[in-house]
Amino acid sequence: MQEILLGVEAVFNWQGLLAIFIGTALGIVIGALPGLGPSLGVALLIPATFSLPPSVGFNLLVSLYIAAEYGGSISAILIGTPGTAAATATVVDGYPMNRQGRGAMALQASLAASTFGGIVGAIALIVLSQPLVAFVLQFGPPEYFALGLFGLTLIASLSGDTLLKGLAAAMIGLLLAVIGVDPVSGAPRYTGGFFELYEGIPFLVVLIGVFALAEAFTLAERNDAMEEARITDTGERLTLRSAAGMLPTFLRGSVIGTLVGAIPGAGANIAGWLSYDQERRWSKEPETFGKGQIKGVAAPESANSASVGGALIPLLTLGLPGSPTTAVLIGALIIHGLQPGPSLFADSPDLVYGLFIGMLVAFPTLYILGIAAMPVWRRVLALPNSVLAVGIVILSLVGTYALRNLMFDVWLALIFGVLGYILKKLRFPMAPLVLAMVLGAIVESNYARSMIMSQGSHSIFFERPLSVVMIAVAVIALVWPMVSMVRQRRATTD
Amino acid sequence: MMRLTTLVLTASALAVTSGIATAQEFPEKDIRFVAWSAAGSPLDTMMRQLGRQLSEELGVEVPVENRTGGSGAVAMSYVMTQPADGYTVLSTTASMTFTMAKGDVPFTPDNFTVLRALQAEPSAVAVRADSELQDMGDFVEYLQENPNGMSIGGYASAGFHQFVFYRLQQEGEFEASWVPFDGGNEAALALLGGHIDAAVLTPSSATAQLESGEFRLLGISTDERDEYFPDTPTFKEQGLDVVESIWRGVMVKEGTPDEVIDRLIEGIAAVEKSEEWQEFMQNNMQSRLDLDLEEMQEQVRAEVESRRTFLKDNGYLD
Repeated sequence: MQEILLGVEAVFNWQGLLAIFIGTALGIVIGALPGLGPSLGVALLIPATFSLPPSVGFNLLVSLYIAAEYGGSISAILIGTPGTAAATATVVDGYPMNRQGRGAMALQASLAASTFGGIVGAIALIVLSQPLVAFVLQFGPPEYFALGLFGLTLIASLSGDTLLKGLAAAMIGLLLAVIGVDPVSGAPRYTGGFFELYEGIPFLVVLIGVFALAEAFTLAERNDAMEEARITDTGERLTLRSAAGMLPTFLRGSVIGTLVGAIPGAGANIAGWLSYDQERRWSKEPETFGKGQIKGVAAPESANSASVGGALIPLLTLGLPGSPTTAVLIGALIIHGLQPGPSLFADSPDLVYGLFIGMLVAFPTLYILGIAAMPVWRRVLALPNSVLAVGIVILSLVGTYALRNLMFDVWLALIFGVLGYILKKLRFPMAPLVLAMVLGAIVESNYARSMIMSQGSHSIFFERPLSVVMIAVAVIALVWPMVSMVRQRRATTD
Repeated sequence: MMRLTTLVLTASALAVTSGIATAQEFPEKDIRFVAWSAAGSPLDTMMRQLGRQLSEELGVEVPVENRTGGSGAVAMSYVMTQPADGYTVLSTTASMTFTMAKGDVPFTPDNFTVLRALQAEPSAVAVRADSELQDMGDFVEYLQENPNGMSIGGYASAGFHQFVFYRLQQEGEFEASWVPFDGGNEAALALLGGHIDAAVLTPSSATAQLESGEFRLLGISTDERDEYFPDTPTFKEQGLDVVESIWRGVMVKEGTPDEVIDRLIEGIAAVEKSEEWQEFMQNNMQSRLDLDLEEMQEQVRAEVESRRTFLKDNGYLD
């Protein structure tokens, strides 16, 4: 109780509240800009915290992190481009909603889901850290491999009506993941002599190419004068009742987000995908997903915001990062002369409890700022295609360049833009490609690690309970739809 | 015509004065720091701290630019396109000598002058508190009796920590395979979760576990007892002659004038003496690799050679 008062004291003063306000506002913008994400945003803001008390500075950084995970959904819905990697799953239904004139409702659903998910994640961080960290520690290389394998089964549900094209897109993604340094030998492969590719093709460059640029090219072909090119706002808004109806979606997403967010090496992006997939699987109308289903926005958004609380669990309990952004946060703590980990609770309780209270303040702040910014986004929705297309190209290319200050990446993004445009014309779904690219790296390196650990025996995957469970779930996820398809066919032929 | 002449005259006058200024007093404009790792990484943090303090010493701005990619090759090739005038200073670490030894990058130690290694960290062998191994003697003995009898891992394949492990194998004459992880933190997590039996890591990447006693260090790669881990016996005092450190420093393009290099080194030395820098080093658990300019170049060349042998012996290099 005393500690909680300490936290309240650390947050509720003009400096503390202003820090959360500024962090949240900046985070929304940084998240919404393709290319800029939470980890870069936090890193760039660290110098601004030097003169602040550690607790205030830390809340500034964490509220930026929180808001950026939401901000990514804004561009996902508005321009079909995930502003952050974590918002990739949001594009699948968010953008179709926008094209149907239901963009405003998608934005509201995303904001409500993010706020809800974020608060659940924060509460889990405060109350459930210990049991969750015990769960996280169960994850060794074989478990990561099994998780990746399970993730790959999502491709089936992300392919929509075109399973074969989905699989083909996923194969492209897996092949892209192979480029770069071999995780076992440390030697570069398929880099074509470009050392810009040693660390692999940057994921964000692919995202910007196949989503943003491909979309801009498609928009540019449509004449503004054409009736079909214009989006007319249907006037649909998120009512309290429809939000309440999505409560189970919010909850499922929050639980998945917290759990997956806490597992280092999985993170917000995979949390978003898993949550999307679960929502579709449990839905009574799975065929509406990918075509502007509002739950397809709410599910990944509640998950990626809940992952923030999850990712902070390893930081506070183990002093180890749970995500790339928390790795930067650890750096910030060290600069302030603090040692991340459980000793923080004793050494600087004002920081730890200030963080807890600060997060509980930051999410409502996010909601208020998000609502306040809605008119701005609606104005973007009303822009003619020609302006939108040029705007997307400029924003994307600047964002790409900002990643590594490399013109090489800009060219690479343009190549992926053309590839994405062609695939789109041929009606290939894009989601399996990017998901396979993320999972490919996890599956490969952890398979290799497991094989070294077991000296080449595959039994390692079947001797460990968590790994067995996840592999079994993956097999069921893969086989079950086929079984039910066969059954349905039999039923109709009989 | 008149205007053109004036312009030419002014321009040449400016050129002359600035020419003199370079020779006499470096720096007369901002110095750019190029960091080859991402913003917020330990190397970037060091560059930003150094940049800020050097800016006070030299009276010009020292902004930091991040150019990541290609294990540093992206930044190196960028610096190669800039004039050798000391206004572009590149970060560097001991990992550069691995990249150069592998031949992955078209650069050698001859392309750069390493000014100074400001930070150095050792590598150490860590086990969980419940492990039966108490020191390096136990560790070596166990692996001699049970070749490949436990899982040992750490950050990266064919990198610094595997190199230290390889040197330990040479000295202790045992056999064991290496599980490469994507970061020291991940190796620490795998050790904590019981997925591997020992990790070779920089102790600062598992501070919380070392403090709480969940991890125990069997040995450390410093020459004498490490200032931050004085209770951990060195490999050397346990009969394994492995003294290695991963250092971080700064370098400039080869051919940079001596007086410019001297001025930079002078500025860096002043920063290193400051209380602020020493506190920064303490917070990050960093030690110094106190080598002068000549010793530093020798160190780099010697490292490239020793890395090459290691890579060849492990089949990473033909």
